[in-house]
Amino acid sequence: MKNLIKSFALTLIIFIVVGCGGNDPGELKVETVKEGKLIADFPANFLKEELLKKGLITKDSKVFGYKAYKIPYTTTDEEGKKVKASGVMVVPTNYNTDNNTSKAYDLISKIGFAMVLDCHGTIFSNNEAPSVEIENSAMPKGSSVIFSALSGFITLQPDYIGFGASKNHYHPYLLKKSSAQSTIDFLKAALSFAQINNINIIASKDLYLTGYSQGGFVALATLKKIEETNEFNIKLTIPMAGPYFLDPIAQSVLNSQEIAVPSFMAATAYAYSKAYNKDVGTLIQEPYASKLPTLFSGKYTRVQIDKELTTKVSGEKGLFTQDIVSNYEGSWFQEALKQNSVVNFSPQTPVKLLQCKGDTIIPYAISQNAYNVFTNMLGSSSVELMSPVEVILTNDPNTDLRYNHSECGAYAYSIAAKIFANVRKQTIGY
Amino acid sequence: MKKIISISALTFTLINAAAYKLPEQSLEGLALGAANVANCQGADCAYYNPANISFLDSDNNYLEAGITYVYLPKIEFIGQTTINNLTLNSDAKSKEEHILVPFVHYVSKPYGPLRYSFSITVPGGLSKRWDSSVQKLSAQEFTLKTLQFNPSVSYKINDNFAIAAGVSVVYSEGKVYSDGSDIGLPLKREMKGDSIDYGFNIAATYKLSNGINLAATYRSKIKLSEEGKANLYFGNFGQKYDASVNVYLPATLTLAVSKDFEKFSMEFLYEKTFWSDYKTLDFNYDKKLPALLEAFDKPIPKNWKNSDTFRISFRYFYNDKLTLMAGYSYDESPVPNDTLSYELPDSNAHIFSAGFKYRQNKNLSWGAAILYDYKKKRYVNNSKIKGEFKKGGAFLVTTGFEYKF
Repeated sequence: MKNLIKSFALTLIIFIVVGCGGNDPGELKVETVKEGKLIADFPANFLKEELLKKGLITKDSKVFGYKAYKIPYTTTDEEGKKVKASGVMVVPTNYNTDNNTSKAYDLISKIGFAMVLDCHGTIFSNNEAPSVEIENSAMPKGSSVIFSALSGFITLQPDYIGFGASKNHYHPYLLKKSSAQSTIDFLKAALSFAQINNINIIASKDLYLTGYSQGGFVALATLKKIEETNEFNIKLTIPMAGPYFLDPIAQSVLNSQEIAVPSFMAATAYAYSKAYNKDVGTLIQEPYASKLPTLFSGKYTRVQIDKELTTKVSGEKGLFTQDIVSNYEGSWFQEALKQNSVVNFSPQTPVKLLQCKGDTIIPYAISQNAYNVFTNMLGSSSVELMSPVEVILTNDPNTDLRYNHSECGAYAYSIAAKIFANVRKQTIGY
Repeated sequence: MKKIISISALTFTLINAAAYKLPEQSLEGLALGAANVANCQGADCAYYNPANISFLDSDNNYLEAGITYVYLPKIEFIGQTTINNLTLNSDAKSKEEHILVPFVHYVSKPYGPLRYSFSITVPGGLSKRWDSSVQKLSAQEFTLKTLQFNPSVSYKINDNFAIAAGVSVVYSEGKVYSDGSDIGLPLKREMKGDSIDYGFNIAATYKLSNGINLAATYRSKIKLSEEGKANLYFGNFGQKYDASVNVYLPATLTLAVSKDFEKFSMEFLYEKTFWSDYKTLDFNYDKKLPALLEAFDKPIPKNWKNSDTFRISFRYFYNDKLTLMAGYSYDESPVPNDTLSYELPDSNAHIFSAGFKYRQNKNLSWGAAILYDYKKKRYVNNSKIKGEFKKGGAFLVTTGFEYKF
């Protein structure tokens, strides 16, 4: 029996010793960076194949590889408190490029990359934030494909407060102070990140600024703040289809019977009531008002949120309270929206306003009015109202082509990228 | 810890006999081509047929230990592989493998009608590695290692009839590496997992009066639930995931009959292996994979079939010290044409074995054996692979000793 016990003990020891093999293949073999994180590194040949399949480029098009970094940084919210936020830097690469693109890459990387700071449009789901979307898919996404993979710029995209690293904070939707501040703080963090990690940004730090829809609004707010400090070398700003004047848009909505996309105004009311410390119930009726914290928690998309709201503006079952519909003039809400207009300065650097004529969410007239105010009332000589996107695309001033707000984005971004590239060629030679 | 892991790597990788099951688990087991169930006569009955331990000499404990060297030659493939609707010439040779496999068996003296035993064996596994560009996408390395601890107890009902039952504790490690970069697919997987799982075995032997033994054994299926980590890459970017995959050690039924003559014995064995539980190879991850990595998440159909193996073995008692042994088996592959792939390009096999055992004194015996597993050529024509696998097979050499005390 003693022997039996000894044998079992021996067996057990062997089993335990032999059974200590690993169940982890070891550390990931990916580029490590300081003060950020690699979230995608996509080969050019695959990206080109995808874009060719979609008919977005031709065989001769140059397509660079696509490398994205998530950069954490600290900014200040609307209330003046520190917030940990995040954004994305996308860098063109030479990874699996063809010969022509490789030559172009060699030239660009020798001179240094120019940067496009792109402010994204309205999103409600955290999964749509630039850094989150790229990190989850490991794939190139959105306008950074146009600016970086196709045009050779470094693209910088802040997630905004309320998304990415700050997803637990409410999103200060269309509130210009923190929108601009979080964008500028991201720009500073991105420049520091590039320096620490030897990413070759051109010595003159040429910066091109753009954004679509909410991003157009943020781009102008950011431009104003940058011009106040003269801290960065802005070459050109192209705000696209932004709600630059919030007061007239609100008046127009409150005077309507129905609105197509109730989430936009509901988000504005929610964010403004938070920022101005007011009860959202003074603007939005029940049962909708009490749903807003959940709906705008970052878990739901615009389509999901719209289904939970109503397209009726007023009345017993309308979205807005009768009080704000009847007494908007002179209300705190009107005053706050006026304070957040971004057409309240005289740009000193070139600005080109770009928009589709078929846009019914943000009518083309908004860009026309912004142009008039900038030039006629505020005396700026550097602002230009571009022809509508449809006209630029067809080269026909009388074209019947019309793109709505969501359709227009990709075309507008492509035109902006071409204009930026032309300016870059004139200024730094590639 | 490094030292411990290296012990693990040395001792229990495996093999390519009968898909990924290894039935040769002792000196006599290998010499007789695993036709060693009805007439097993030593400590290795602990593994082959624990009912037979009731009939071993009651004055002794039995201990057997040994090691098997396994050589897996290169498998050669000539043909094409279709990936993403693109057909590529993919002639290639797999890497050869050199593996050491240990075994330990122990049988106690009887305690009344009861007798105890245990064995430590490597009941299955495989290791297939390809360096060639196309094959690397499926199996740059595909390795399953197992180690089984199998205590049993037998009950002697009378002098002619005994039954036994045991439990199996199996530690296993899986490793799957894939790499498509050489064919322009920037996908790469590095996955490792391990698991401890359980099964059981039962056995019965009936001894007829004319030197004929009848035996039946059954080993249950053991689901190896490999859990670990996976590094998945697209391009130069990768992410780490918690990952798991289930692999099966199949249930096995053996029916054996043996006959003793004056200086000679022979055994015939039929073995049914229930591979049909292996329907898919399905890797699971703790979070949804990005679209481009979904290829690593799709269940891979396997649809293996139950297989039959026929074995015959001979013992020749040359004198009271030397026993000569030989065996032959015909081993059917469970892998259907439709799902055969590079990680296990299996085919039907003829298995030849021979060996000897020498009794040094009344307590100690030792010996050696050799086995050649001849795999037939296999022509495959499925949605991914069209071509012929040839060569491969396996050479096994064992040496071991048995000590009675």
